[in-house]
Amino acid sequence: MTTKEIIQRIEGEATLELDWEKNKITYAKIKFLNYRAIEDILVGKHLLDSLMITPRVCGICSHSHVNATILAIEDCYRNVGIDLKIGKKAHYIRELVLNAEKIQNHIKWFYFLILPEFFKISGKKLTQTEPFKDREWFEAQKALSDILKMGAIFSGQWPHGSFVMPGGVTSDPLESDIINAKNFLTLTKEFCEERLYGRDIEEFLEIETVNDLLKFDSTLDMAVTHLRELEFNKIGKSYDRFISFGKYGKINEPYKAIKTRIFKADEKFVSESLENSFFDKTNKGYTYSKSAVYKGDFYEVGPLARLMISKDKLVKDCHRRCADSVVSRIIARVKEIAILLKRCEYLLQNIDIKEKSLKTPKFMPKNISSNGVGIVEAARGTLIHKVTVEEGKIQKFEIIPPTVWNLGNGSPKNPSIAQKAIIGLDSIKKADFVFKSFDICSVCTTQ
Amino acid sequence: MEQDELYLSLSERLGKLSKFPKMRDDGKSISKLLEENGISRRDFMKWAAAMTAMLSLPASFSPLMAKAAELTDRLPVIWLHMAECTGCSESLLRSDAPTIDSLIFDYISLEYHETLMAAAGWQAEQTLEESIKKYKGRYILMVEGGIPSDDSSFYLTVGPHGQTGESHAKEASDNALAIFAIGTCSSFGGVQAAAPNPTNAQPLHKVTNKPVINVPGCPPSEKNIVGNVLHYILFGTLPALDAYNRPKWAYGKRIHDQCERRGHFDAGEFVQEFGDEGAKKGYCLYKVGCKGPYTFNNCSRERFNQHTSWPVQVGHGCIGCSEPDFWDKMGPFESPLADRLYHSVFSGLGADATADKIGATILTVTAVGIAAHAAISVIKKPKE
Repeated sequence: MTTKEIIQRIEGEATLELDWEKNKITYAKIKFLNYRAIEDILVGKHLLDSLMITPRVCGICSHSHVNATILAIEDCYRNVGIDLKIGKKAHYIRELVLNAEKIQNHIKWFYFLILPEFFKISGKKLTQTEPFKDREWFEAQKALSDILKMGAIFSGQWPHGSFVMPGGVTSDPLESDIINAKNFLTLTKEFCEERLYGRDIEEFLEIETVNDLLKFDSTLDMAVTHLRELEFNKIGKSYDRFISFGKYGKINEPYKAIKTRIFKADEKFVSESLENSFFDKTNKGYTYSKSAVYKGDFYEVGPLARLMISKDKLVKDCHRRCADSVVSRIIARVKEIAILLKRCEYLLQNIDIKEKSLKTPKFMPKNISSNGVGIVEAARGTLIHKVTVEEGKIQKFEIIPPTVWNLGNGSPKNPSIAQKAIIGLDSIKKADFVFKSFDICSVCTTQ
Repeated sequence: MEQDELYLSLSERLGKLSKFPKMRDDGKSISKLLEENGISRRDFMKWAAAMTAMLSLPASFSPLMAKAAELTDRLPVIWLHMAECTGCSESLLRSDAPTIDSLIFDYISLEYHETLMAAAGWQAEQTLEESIKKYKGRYILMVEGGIPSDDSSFYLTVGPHGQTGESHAKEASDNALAIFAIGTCSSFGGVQAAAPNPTNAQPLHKVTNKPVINVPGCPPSEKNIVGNVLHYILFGTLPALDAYNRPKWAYGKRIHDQCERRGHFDAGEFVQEFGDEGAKKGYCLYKVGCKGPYTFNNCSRERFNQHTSWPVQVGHGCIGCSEPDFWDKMGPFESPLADRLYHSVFSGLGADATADKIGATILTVTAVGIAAHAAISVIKKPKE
């Protein structure tokens, strides 16, 4: 028997086609049926125009895309022997803007996409988080808009800010801007402390075990407790393989993890498979999404991968108990909010406004012929942009978004990360929820 | 006199609307919702006054505006997603909260919105079908995203029946009371319609024969959306539109006209390249590609993220995102348009051919002036 389920309350729309046998899911096809061909549109455009076009791939992670593109462009310079030497201030501002977007995304995912679903599954109403009605839902909305304002001070707007250029950033914040930004950061932090974590960020960051986590009366504690009752600590498990390429916290190099063992990784082993997509020549495709693989294997990306690789104690404790299940994914993503808030505090404290925001490159890329790669850890995981440019015009642009790592389609013998997490479940509701635990974005996946 | 008559007729309309049944199931009023979120009546009235000014109505109309806001739960709204990045929804519904604008948006009886609605999956699809039937001819339709058309319509299929986005949009438009194209994609095709337009993405007005009000911008500001809804509730008719069907109250002036860096333009003080001394001083960005002089929108006044900032404030020029086909016409975005405008393609854009011609003429005249001014300023201003 095969059933079809439309998945909504994600960014865009997806369809899950499930095969059933004796009330168990035996195979799942993940379909994304929208396509815009952004990679084709980029061909022939001026190199710098890609800074405007790639953010439009996605309305919820546009600043991750613009950051990946600028890194790719700067890599083009490096590959013709010009090191642009980006200053500390520019690095900090780029990271601040990116972090604001990630914090926003995680809060939104937890409150708007996960909690409503989750209470639907259990049938019980636990907190004051009902969309459009309850106070905490509105407060979450305010918190994420505040953190976006913090970012917008440096990026001009969110989404789709234009604020980066080869050599640095165009924004030149004043002391008053920094003070404003700190204010917005504090507002978001206060919300997280009061509602989400139920304690100070510092205190929360020191928690090392899941048992310690569950001692407070906060929304996160309640969600985790309840999810454990529903046994979501046992389902949604995949390969237990993680990968992370971008700069993240103390991690500066690409790593992969197989369970808890960590190895070095290299971008050159990443490839996009066209199998099962409409672009495949066999004509058997059923989706516009491609699949990203590392040496032919599927790896999970995202906050869980990042925190496993950076050996976060709480997440590792959680992983010891319930491996890469739904609960681990939720704890990792919500924990990352606190880590990012803390990091933003440091960045704001240490921006030297007297430093130059942008060191003008010796020549603008009018005549540049080169190629470059830009990698960023976006909210949903590793985002890779690769560009080939000739005489200043783009010849080829490749975008590998985080979602194609997690949400691609393999084969019954070698299912993708999300497919493996879904196979074996016994209800559509569970499959829907496990699917959503990856933080779905259909517009990035297919572009 | 005219003003009094208008005031009376608007009051009458609002009176009629208030007799419509409330559509929220909890029956909460907007005042209650605002109060719960710590917004006082006084703040609300201040907001109404600002909104009144934005729609170019006399200040004495503020109470009517407040009343209109209170009645936003009487008209059902259906929001459709086409080929897009969801950026319009993101920026409009949640990046500016919980200010009065966004609360009003939460308050509107949003019958269908893929990401936000309470229902999901099959249930949601049914809601959409039912809403279209139930409120036939009575709902406000908002569409976000470009629409892959004709032979390419398969690039977007939605819903349980594998309907194409195009037929979806057509059907919803046919039965709508008023139609708003939210964002540049839905208004003019947007990024997916940029050359070579691989998926043949078309704006909403090419798909339906009914009048479409365009609210372009990538993303458009939340004020412009909410303003349109309120305008409709107040007047029950379409607002005054420009040649590209954009409401004049929002798109009547150029970015350049109200720009905070305009003084530097007039004084001939320009940023010559990113990162120079002029950039540090906040000089005009025309020479590093600002398209403010050719772009009709109110960003310089309303800004983004609840008035926090906008691109020009952070030292990057306007890219012209609320103009038809700006992706192909305005690029490369880091150099001035100047005389290149003569060589650009204008055919087949906008509402119709006449509008294009008019638009082109206006733009060219401006372009000559701007380019001349920039050229003179170099001569006038000796190098430091």
